[in-house]
Amino acid sequence: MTKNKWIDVTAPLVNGMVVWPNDIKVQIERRVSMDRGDLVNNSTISMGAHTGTHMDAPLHFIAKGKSIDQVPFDAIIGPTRVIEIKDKVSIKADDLKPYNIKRGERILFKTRNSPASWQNKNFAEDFVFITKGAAQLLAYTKVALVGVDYLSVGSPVDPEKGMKDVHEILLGAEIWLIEGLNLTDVKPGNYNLICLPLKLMNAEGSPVRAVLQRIP
Amino acid sequence: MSAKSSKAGSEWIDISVTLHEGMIAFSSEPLLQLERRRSIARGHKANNTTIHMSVHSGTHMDAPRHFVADGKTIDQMPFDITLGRARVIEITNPVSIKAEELAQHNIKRGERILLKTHNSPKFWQADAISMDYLYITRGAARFLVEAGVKLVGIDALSVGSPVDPDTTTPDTHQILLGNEIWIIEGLNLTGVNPGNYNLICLPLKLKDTEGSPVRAIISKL
Repeated sequence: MTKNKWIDVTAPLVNGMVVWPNDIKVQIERRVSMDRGDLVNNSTISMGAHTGTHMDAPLHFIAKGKSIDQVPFDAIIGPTRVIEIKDKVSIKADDLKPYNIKRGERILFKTRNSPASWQNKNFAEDFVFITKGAAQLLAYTKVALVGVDYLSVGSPVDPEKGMKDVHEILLGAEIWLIEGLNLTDVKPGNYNLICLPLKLMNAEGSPVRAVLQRIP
Repeated sequence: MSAKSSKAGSEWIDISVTLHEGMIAFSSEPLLQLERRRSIARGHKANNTTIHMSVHSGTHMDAPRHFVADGKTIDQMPFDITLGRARVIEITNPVSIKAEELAQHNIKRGERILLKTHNSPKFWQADAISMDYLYITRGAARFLVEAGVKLVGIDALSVGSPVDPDTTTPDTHQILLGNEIWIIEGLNLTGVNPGNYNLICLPLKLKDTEGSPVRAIISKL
């Protein structure tokens, strides 16, 4: 299996990391510590389910949508295409047309967010986002999964004010979302994806670990 | 292993337990809380949940740092430890996992071993945590070190026992983690037959942390 290495496309979870403006801060606390004379190290975590690299289940925006513990493994494990978007502002329907995206595909968008937005010490509100038009095209195509390389598919500064709409269009079509991928080390092309969320009962999202392996 | 190999063969079997409030946990651990901080039902635009938990809740991994002061942390784990071929061995002893029983299975260097015991499903079906779960004895831990396995998984919340006078919980952990054998605890192997599988088990990328909750799945080879 080591012919092709796994590339970690997950942002590290660390105290003080950038989170969505009104979300709670990550706290990883070593509650029991060998440095303080305890027999073991034992940590507790507090975090929003939408922290760092994470998934949105339909339930995030759809009242009766599926929760993250219902994600089919087929949506998050298997061949995946990384598409590079050169547009510096947003991912538009016209940007997607040349790629002949097909029903059931798993699509990850690499934009200038990787690495620019990740290098920002503060929340990078001007990150490249998915427009309503592009969301509609992806929903119409019925892809299985969409991944983006910053904290949301929608933007707080989208002139169309699409934050809620973009989520509703994608999640309403039962397209599972990975947000907060770091695709800095990844070239466009075909990969095997493994992305696993925690099995959080009735939760609308979860932090994940996501890895890619180049398909030659 | 390739991620798509399962498609040609068999289905993924989820061997992770569901994380929920009131789930089985050691009394020494903080209680898991999933708090729906924002809720469509309460008039918010979106649902948004906050997670509070011990990293040793439910199905989780122990990195060497759990018991070794300068040991590797979970974010330093090579993917080769938890992605690839794994063997599920069924333990027939009703009390503990002993070296003599493991010796019958021809365990080889570099193997990933998941130990299925009477804990599946008993441990997980109980209303409260039971302390008489099956665990890895000191002798069996040494046997696994000698065999040179890279990963050991067990179907209880700990590889060690709080009630065995001859093998303390720290003993089992220190022998395994001290020899850089990574550990998955809290697997639910109910319904899983012994044999060879592809394993995918991924922890969160928790910086400098001694463990992490994981999602773990297998597919039959």
